[in-house]
Amino acid sequence: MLVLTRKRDESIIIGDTIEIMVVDIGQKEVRIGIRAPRELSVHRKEVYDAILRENIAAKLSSRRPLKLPKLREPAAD
Amino acid sequence: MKTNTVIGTEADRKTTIMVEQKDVIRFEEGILGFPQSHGYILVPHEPDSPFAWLQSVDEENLAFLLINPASVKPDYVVRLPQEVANDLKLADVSDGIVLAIVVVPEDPREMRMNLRAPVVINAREGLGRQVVLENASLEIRYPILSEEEQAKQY
Repeated sequence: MLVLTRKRDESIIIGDTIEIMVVDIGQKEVRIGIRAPRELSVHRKEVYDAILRENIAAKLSSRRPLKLPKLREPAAD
Repeated sequence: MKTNTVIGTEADRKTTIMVEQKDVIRFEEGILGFPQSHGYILVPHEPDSPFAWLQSVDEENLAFLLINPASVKPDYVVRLPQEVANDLKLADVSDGIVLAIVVVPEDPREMRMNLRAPVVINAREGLGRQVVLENASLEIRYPILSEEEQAKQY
C-alpha cells in the first residue's frame, strides 16, 4: 500500500478524477473529504464488507429447495 | 425480444419461464458482490406474499429472495438520496419499490433481512439498484421472525 503523509487541508489525487482531502485531524479520528465521479460509489469499508458478506449469504442458487416460514398475519382487530 | 430463464424453488423441479425484454430490470452496478450480472426479473413468490424473487437473467444460478420490509417492520422508512432517484429516473423518490434482501440460513426460521442496503426498483423504467443508506442505525441483519414467532412455526 502506498503511504503518504498529509496535513490538514491537503489532498491526494488518484487518476484525474478522484480527490481525497484531509479535512480535519482529531485525537483519534480524521475527517476525510472525497470528490469522485458520481458513478463511483464510496462506502465505509466495514459497512461495505458487512453488506458484501450478507449479499453472498443471501445468494440462492435457483434450484435450492425453499420452504418459507409463515409471516405474522396482519392484526385483524 | 424474449428469452428463456430458468427459475425454480423446489429441489428437483426446474421452472422455465418466458421473459420479455421489457420485464428485465437493469442494475447498472449489479448487486454488491455480483457486478457481472446486470439484468434481473422480479418474480412474486406466491400471490399476496410479501416475498419475491430477484432472478438474474444473465446467470441461471443467481437469485435473491426479497421481502417487502414494511410487512415485517411497518415503521421502516427509507430516505433515498436525490442522486439515487435521478439514476433510477424516479420523478418522486416515493415512486420506487423498496425491497430488502433476505438471508435464509439452514434453519429458515432464523431468516433475516438487510435494512441498510435495500434494493430499489423503478418498475416503469426497468431500473434497479442496491442502495447503501447513510443511516447507520438501520440493521444489516434484522430478524424477520421474532423469537416468539419462530417458536410457533411448523
